[in-house]
Amino acid sequence: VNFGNDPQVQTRLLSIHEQLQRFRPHTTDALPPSRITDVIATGYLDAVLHGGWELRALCETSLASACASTFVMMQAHVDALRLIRAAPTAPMAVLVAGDLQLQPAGGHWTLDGTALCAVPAAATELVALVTTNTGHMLVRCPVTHGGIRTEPVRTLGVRASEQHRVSFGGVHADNSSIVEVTPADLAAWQQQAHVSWSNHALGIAEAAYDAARAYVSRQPKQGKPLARQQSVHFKIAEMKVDIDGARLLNLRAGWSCAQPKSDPSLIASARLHANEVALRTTEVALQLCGVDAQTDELPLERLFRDARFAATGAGSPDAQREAIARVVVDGAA
Amino acid sequence: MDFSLNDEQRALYEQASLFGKQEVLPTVLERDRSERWDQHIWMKMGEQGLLGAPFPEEYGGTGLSAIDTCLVMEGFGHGSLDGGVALALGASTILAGVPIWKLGTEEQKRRYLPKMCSGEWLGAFCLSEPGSGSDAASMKTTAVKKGSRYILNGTKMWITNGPIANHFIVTAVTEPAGKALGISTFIVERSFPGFSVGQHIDKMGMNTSKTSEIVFNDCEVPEENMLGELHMGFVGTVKLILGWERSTMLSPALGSQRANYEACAKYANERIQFGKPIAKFAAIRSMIADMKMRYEVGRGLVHRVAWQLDQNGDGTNDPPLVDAAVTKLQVSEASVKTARDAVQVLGGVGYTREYHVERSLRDALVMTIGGGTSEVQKSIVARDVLDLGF
Repeated sequence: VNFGNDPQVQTRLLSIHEQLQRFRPHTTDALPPSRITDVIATGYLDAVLHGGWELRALCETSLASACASTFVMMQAHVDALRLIRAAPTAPMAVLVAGDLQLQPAGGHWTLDGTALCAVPAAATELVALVTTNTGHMLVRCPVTHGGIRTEPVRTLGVRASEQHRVSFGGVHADNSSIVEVTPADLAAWQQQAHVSWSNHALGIAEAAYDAARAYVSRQPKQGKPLARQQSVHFKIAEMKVDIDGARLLNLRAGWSCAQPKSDPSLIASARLHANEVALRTTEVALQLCGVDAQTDELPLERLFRDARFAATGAGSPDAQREAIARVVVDGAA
Repeated sequence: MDFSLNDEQRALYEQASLFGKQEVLPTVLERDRSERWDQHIWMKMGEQGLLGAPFPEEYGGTGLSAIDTCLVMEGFGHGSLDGGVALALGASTILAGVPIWKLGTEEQKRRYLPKMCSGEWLGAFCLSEPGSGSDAASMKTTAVKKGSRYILNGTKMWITNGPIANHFIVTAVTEPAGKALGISTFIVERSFPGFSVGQHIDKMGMNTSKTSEIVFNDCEVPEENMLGELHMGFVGTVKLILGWERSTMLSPALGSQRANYEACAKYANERIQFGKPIAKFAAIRSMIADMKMRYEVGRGLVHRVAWQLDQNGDGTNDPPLVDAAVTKLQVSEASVKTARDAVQVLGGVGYTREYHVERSLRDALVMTIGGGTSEVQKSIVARDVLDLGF
């Protein structure tokens, strides 16, 4: 067991982290269109795709703490690149997963259905993940394909992630556009995606914790900082306990993913805990900072909304509990 | 970073768990009811190498690292389901043994550690008093130099192993004006004149261990039995054992958490209601999943503190105070929550004394009190992260 950071990882992380933290928006849900390219320029993509599990985990948390919306957009891109095994320098593709059907039609295939996903303005390709009778397939389509309609959708959280309702209406795809996904590859990607979303939730929690800590330290009440009130600083302490535990569990889950035999119950535990911590931390932080937290002068109301997305997307808490129970409860039968 | 356990570490855990299951578990229900201490089990633990896990082999120990000691103690907690004996183990080996190992003279180490490792002698740690628990530095017990001896007067309270221990690590005020920097530590033997065991303390849980007051009435302690430096007893001893206490001594509770969720999973698969095992109901599955999640969170935190202790190779690298407090708070609160939920999953039988979960709940409740309450841990964490000062 070794809890020490690899010095090379630390050096690389520091460089990326410093650049990412400059993106922390405090006033708005809207992001400039250049944000994705700004993040890619930090070396984030290469670090996440090829930097090893530790650097990946630390970078993902860093980006999520800087801006949850950007993380969501980047994750759609990272997922697509991983599944189609493309290089970090490839044109921007985003993964679309939802209620999609792929039917053979003569010598080609037809893709139908709808899904909700991040489609940044810079995206050039959609990579649809489809479940068929014979397994899972990816269908690669240009965003400009005539059979695809994308409509912006306003969401509760991660409002700057450019969420769209994507509709595929009889989209023709030939064999050159289809990529088969083996069950092993799909399982590995799903586990990695859960860890990434855990890191996302942790980043949101860390951002809320930082904001709350700063606020209670400077905000006076009856002549002394709010932080001096025991009821206040106990809540900050509870946040710290939650976040420390989530951080270590996320790292162990990321490490597990990189092992020849991963532990699905550990990965699901990390996801479940990180989600709970994000929800709890953002709610308590919102309460601690009073009416100021309801305004967009602090990032807390946004983080409160963002945490909801983290806990809902790509596997709900109940789905994580079920994943754990399959190992712990069914395994004991 | 690397979170893998090697084959030897896995074996340490398994051996300790198996020992607990075979040698300790069979009688735990009876010993809990009768509040009986079993010296025979203690001696067997000595033979197994459990009582001297971290101490060097030259003093009769096993020479394990802090993290390996954690694995052994977690394994013991998991197999034995005996919080009381695990507490006695922590009080003796960690609280009474580690200070001698790290602060003691060669003579002190040679006199006490081999006997502790074999089980022949049992140690206890005397810090709390009737009027000072969390605020330990406000203790009233005094030690006044008289010739070549110190004369101790005062009463120590809630002393685990008090009625059965052979030697006691005792903190006492040697310089009243110095407050925390005016406290010294002594090794007091049971046979010393003026030493007596006071009132036996009836407890809610941890009943397989013994707890009492310890009374010093003009107790004569040879000056060579001072442990560490004069006036540095509180700062030196408490600081030294903090990391050990908040890693190794929390480990049996992790073992208990694991045993609880495993017991729930087994029971849920066997218990049929509404025509199917209750393991098929989402509410039950969710509770067990949450237990597993809490266990994994705590295990990471405990191992982090132990890893920090091991960083300079001899178990004296102090972990950050805040990390130790975070760990204590999470593991103790999670132990209570998991034990509480385990009783709920087992339903009516969980509430009876025929099953282990009701005892695990009674045992777990002391975790949030002893060794610094949850509220004290929160204060430590908050003061650190908010820079409020101490």
